[in-house]
Amino acid sequence: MHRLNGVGLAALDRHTSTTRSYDILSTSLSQTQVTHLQSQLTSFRSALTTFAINHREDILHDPAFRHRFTQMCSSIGVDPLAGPRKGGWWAELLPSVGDWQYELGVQIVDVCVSTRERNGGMIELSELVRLVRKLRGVPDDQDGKGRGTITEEDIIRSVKTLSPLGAGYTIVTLDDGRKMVRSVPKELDEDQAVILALARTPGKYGRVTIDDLVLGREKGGKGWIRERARGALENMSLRDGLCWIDEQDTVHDRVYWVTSAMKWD
Amino acid sequence: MALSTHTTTTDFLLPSIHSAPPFFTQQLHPASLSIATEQWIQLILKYARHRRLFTIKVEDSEAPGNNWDEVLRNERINRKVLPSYLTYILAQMVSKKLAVYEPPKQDRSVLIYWRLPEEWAEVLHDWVSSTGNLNTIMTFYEITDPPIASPLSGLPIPLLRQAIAILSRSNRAQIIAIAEGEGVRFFPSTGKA
Repeated sequence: MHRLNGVGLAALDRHTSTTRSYDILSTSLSQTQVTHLQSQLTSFRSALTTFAINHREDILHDPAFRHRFTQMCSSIGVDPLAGPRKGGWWAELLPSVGDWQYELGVQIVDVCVSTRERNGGMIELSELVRLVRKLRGVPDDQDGKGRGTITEEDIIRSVKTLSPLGAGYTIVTLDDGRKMVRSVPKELDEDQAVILALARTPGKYGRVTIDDLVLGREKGGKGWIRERARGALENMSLRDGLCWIDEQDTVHDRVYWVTSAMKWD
Repeated sequence: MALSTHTTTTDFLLPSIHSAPPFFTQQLHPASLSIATEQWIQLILKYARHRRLFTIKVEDSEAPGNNWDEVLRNERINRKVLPSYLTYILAQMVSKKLAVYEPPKQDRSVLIYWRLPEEWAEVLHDWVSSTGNLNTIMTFYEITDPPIASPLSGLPIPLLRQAIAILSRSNRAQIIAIAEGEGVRFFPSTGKA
């Protein structure tokens, strides 16, 4: 009778040797796989290096190209911003891109801090882009598409890199979709967001009254009760310094001016 | 409307913040207050320099018809600085040593240092040297009201005294009693200053 496993003591021996063979095979298989992966990684690395070297200028100066490049990075799961500390060899390969991003971060902080007096720490994204461009000495073309210019996306990405600083740099999206960058570590509550959006509606130039918020929606107001409107506006002026107060209006006792929405020539 | 600069009848360029209605109200938030007040101080100093004004009083904000109308009021937006806020601004100027209460011991009128006393001392010494008046005795009147307009024309006597006092410390001036009251003699710089 033929049995694959055999019988008796010999079977035990054979079993042991089979297991050993499988072990050896599996080790060599995974070894091959690792080697294979390593060689793939090496070639990926060198391809990337070549790519980065070849296109360095484009990455740094052409916003459209940079955008595609970061898109590509995120689709293959690589974070171009992971610094050396985060364990990325990326930053070693492409120091220029990392530096570029950090440098932009510094410029953003510069603009945010230097305009904080005027706007109380809230700046509209488009304004921030304009000022950063000015700071970088990039000619501000009509369409903002010139080489070397920076885009809103660049700013958004850089603001995100600033978050570990804990200085409160965040992007706030208003009701109407406009984006603002906040550089003060304060929670902006929903009512304040509504007021900020209202202050920015065309023709307001930052001027907000309690009545603006109390009026019914059909009249362009928000339909709030008076106490809510007063509370929100007083908080913004007295606690957060986001508004300036005008007490010489002929109609209203107090008019609130949202400094970040005021237009200065 | 967007806030814009404005040129006054005395050819002074008012900054755009001067056309912002809340600029004329004393802010309650400390940061806003200090920003606005700093703007006011700069504006007052610039305007004073522009028109060679040496004094500003709280009462200048109480009624129109004085040298400071263009700055303390903005008729275009119907706003004016209230006396209480101007009192605060002047107190800040004094604490920043950009003005002194004149006369002392009151808080409604200040002498504006749009040039610091040290700077006036140099201007004074330069003028005396360039007009060949070193080593001669001059009256205060000769300095503040010279026949040919000078950078020192109209300089208030208290400020002149401070400038002379500074020069005396480096032995470049000396107060001398003369028949008409007081005079001053200037000496060339020793180079050591």
